[in-house]
Amino acid sequence: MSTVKQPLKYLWTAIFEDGHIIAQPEDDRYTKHDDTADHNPSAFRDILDYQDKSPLEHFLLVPPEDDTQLVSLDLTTGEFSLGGFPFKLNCETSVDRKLIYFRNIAQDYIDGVAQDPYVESYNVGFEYKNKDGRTVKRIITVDA
Amino acid sequence: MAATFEYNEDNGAATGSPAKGTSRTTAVTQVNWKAVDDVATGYATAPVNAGENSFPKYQFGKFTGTFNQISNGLWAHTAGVLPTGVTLFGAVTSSYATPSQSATAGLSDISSVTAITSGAAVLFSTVGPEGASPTATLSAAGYTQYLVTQARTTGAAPTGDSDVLTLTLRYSEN
Repeated sequence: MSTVKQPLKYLWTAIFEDGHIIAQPEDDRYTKHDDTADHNPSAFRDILDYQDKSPLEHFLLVPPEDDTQLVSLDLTTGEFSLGGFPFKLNCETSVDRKLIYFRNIAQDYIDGVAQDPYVESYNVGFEYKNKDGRTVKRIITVDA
Repeated sequence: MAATFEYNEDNGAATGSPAKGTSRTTAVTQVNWKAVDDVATGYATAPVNAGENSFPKYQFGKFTGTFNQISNGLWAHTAGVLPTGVTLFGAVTSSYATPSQSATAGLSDISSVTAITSGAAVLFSTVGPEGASPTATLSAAGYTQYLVTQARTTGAAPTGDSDVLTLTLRYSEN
């Protein structure tokens, strides 16, 4: 068995409307982690759980060693910020935005030999329903 | 922590419904196309004769460990050139058929290099690669569909090893 061996280049921080903050631990462990289980949710499940109590307002990707490359998303306005430079992707106003966050992982067979999986990129954004009822996604990708 | 990934491989006669291999090997670390349907035999011991096909490899990924959701599965031949007279066929499928050196039905020519973003879509199942209703996301321990490959040769195929090929499986995780 193999897993991504390199430390995460970006750790996320989630800030909720009620002021609550959840920061991704380096081991990405869910607060209800069960050591005896074959599978456990990651800490991202803590964000999903807390959204039942309070809406998520801000989501940050924080490089532990270089916060000038911080990526942020304001879910109340749809505004991104990358290294301090704010921008918006085409997005309707006054919509209910749902967070999208994932890492792209690649696993290669090279010359017939399985390699360890590695993180290719970090992706953050949101989705919403437009006035026609269609789901629209706005995502930015940051190389790992 | 992150998702834990390993390749598994099915071999032997198709059994059960939906069909899967009689034997299932876990923690597979290599894929070599050869003239025998197993994991362990070295390819030099069972080389494919020019003009013949390899047995198909019915490999698949298994995910355990820590993840909220796995999604966006893609699979492709992403680097490397096959020798003259050798063609690599492949498919992502939930169907298993007893392996043989005949041309396996349902495979496409994947000899050309393809960017992973244009790779074949891979679905997931908690049942196994043979799961009848695979889904685009996985939120518990589970499997990819079968990632089937078969080398087919003509009499023009050279002897010896081929150049280095890269097969890539990409997925999203949070």
